[in-house]
Amino acid sequence: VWNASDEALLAGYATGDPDAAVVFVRRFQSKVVGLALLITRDPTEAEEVAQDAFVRAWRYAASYDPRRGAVGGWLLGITRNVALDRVRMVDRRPLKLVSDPPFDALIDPADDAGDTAGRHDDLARVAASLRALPVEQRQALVSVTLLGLSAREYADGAGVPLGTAKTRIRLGLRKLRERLGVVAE
Amino acid sequence: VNAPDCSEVRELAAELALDLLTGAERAAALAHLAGCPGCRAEVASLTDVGEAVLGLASDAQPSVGFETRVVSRITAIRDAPPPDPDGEARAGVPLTEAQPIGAPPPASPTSSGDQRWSLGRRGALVVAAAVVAGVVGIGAGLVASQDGSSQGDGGRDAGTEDTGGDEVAADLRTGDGEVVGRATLRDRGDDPALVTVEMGDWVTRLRGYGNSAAHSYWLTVDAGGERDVYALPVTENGPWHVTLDGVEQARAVTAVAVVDETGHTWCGARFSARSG
Repeated sequence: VWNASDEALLAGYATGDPDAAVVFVRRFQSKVVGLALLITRDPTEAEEVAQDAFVRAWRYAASYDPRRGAVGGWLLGITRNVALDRVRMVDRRPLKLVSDPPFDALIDPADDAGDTAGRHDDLARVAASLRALPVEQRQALVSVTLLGLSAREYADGAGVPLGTAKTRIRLGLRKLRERLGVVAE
Repeated sequence: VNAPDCSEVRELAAELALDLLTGAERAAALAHLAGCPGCRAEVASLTDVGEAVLGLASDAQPSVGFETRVVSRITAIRDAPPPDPDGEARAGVPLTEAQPIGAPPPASPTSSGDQRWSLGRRGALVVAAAVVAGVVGIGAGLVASQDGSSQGDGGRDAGTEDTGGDEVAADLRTGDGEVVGRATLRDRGDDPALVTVEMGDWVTRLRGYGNSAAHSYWLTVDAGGERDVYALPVTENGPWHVTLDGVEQARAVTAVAVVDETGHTWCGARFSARSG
């Protein structure tokens, strides 16, 4: 079961089998907690969000469609939603994006990623494509995805009008799709 | 908001994919997607791109035993009595017609044990543990608070509303402050108090969330410093009448909220300004 594919592992997880569940959670927990931490900016909250995300993923496992995206991306999408549900209820301190952009660190996958897993190749490709975007579009996209900001929060943090922020998000996401070669069916 | 056409929805596709829209704009766009495969595919492909970016989050390790805690929660939910079929079988309510505020209470559900649709206490407690684990720590911030607007100002549309000596009503709000329904608390003297929850079309949004109909929802009732949990069968459109067996006095009820089994609070109402 340790070598099972992500999809097979998810199928086992969906049944609620404790052994499969432990393996599934261990495989993805560091990414899930990492993303939750970026959005909540609080380790305790992040772990609660991560727990909720795994429970929600278990609930929704039947709705996972392998033709669309990888299990990891699907799970991280759920994690982001859970984290946003939570942070939108409370006042997070605003981020000053101009003076404190953590973006380059964020989009640099760990260098020890040079192992065999194709997963890392995919990540490197996403990182490279993101890097190739104009800086303000990259900043906008990272803000509203990895950092969990709303368009308004990003606009305020970057000191630009809301309309400009939205344009950057729209252009950036479309351009990234082009670079990654994802085709709208 | 008028029904948007394809070009307007394509314009919003990135924000839809990244879940950055709210309120009426989001609802109108989603309604369009429901009937437009082309726009749906456009949003889906952008969603994939957004999810790919999420993979760039740097790793962080949870505390020791994290996976065991997740598995315990799943096992607890899985082994809890199935809320929907069981809850409905005991129900008698939900009613299909809204009970107008101020109308006489429905036929007393206490005449037969089968008429109560709150879960057996034991069943409720098992789930309560799972639910509260997610809810505690967020606290009242999740439950939209009403600021006592009924105290003599007669504002019928605002906040908590004192509709009579034995009944109060309050808006159900999401964390964003959007009003999505109404909760009414009725004091019935020696009979257990009754909460009526009405969410109108918003129930369909609850049902549609995450494309899963298997989701279960619960009504939490805060009273006298304790929290009771009742099954809320959203397979029906409601409104629901919930008999508060566990509450001594209706006036002890401070808040109700709709939560799911992950502990996420969807909306809530606070009863803050009652006379007497």
